[in-house]
Amino acid sequence: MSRDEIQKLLGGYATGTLSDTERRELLEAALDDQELFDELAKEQALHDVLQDHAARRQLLAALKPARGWSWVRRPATLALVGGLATLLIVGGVVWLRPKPSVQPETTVAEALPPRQPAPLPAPAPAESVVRPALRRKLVRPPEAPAMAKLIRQEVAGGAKPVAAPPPPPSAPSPSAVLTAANDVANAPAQPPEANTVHLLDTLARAQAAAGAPAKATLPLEYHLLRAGPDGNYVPVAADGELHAGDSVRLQVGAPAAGSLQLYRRDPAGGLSLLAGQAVEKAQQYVLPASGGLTSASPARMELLLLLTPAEQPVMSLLKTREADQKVQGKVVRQINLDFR
Amino acid sequence: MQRDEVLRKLRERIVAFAASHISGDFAEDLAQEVLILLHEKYSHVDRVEELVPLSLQIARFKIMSLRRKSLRHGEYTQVSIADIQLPDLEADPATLVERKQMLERLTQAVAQLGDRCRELMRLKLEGKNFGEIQKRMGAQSINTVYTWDFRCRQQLLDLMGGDWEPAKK
Repeated sequence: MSRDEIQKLLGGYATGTLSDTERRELLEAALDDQELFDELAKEQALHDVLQDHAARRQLLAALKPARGWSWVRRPATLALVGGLATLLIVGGVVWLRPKPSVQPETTVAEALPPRQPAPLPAPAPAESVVRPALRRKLVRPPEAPAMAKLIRQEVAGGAKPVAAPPPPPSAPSPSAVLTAANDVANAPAQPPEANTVHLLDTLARAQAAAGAPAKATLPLEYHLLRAGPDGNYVPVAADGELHAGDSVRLQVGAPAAGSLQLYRRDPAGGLSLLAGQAVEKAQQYVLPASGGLTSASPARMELLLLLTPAEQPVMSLLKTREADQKVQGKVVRQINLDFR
Repeated sequence: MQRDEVLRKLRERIVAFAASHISGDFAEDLAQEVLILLHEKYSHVDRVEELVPLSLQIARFKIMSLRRKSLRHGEYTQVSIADIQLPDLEADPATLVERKQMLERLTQAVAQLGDRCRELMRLKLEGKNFGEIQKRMGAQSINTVYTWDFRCRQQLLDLMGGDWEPAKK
């Protein structure tokens, strides 16, 4: 053995760990190596202590408690424990994370007193069955009965886009009095009564909704046109009056593309479709396209302009509650024509 | 190696070792006293594995006794090495106290060792030799165990202040 190797045997001298060969080699080397001999002489103190069995037992007792937990400090153990801890933390977080479920709502509901079950909406009934109920729900303006008595004429027919007429001198006055035109009497028949029933309910709701400022998305502007002696319709002055027998049309600017309808409230409180037209945004249209609105005697004619964004049949829209709700959010304008 | 040759080498080593702890004259006397004792009392011991540890033990005792007497007399040189009687290590109260103090320091030091050193120390105290320790600790070779033990011994020695025995005043 080299000197370095023999020097490593020093640790075994005091504890008696060396074999006979190792011990002899160490001691013989120490006789020839002063430094090794000095080291061995220092080691003799430990050697003498460890010769006592009681001392050995005391040292073993000092080493045993830590031995039981020594595995905790091993890198592999620490890595395993760390991994498990991470897994538990992640698992716990995932487990405790609130999940989007209806369970909390169910719990709250159980804590509340039982409520009467809400009546289910009736399935879409036949129009003949629904009609009385819809009429009862109709919301009418206070002046509706009086106005209905004054309405005598109906105007119907397809509207067509026309070139924008010269702008009126001023905004039309709701109290303008016009006279009825003779050609109104020759106007086509009004839409079927069945369709009118749905319109009554729907437009009544629309009227109520129109009262809320938030529902007025874009203004539905219109101008009154009155037939002159030559038969051409010209704008009515702002302070102009309508007289019985005047023939009137509405020039309406479409704020958005969609379907534009003109309704008239009849004496019974219902609404009848006078004209309907698919419109484009920022275009001017004249309703009705043929004929005119007229009254043979002084009366008030209550009209409703409705613009729905989609170009689709109005009647089909109004047949369901969902469609009613859609209509409520659309552009509606009420127009009263006073024929004096 | 013959006994005389062993004793001759021992004398040289003891004189040099003692000279680093006591004065030169006392170192020569110390070595002479050790050899006389080996000759008179341990004449039947002739193997180097026994002679060297025995001589180390006697020399260490002589040095410790000399230091104790010097401390009691207040002057190191006032005590002759010849006045130190043949040691009776097991019966000497001062030796027992010093061993007890050393054991306390040793117990505290081993508690601060690393896992490997603690395990190695435990196996050594249980009487395992290096070959058995190699198998128990799964070392690749016995030289690995030698290296581990050498480093652990150095670590333990450092924990005890660089010397197994308390610092001499």
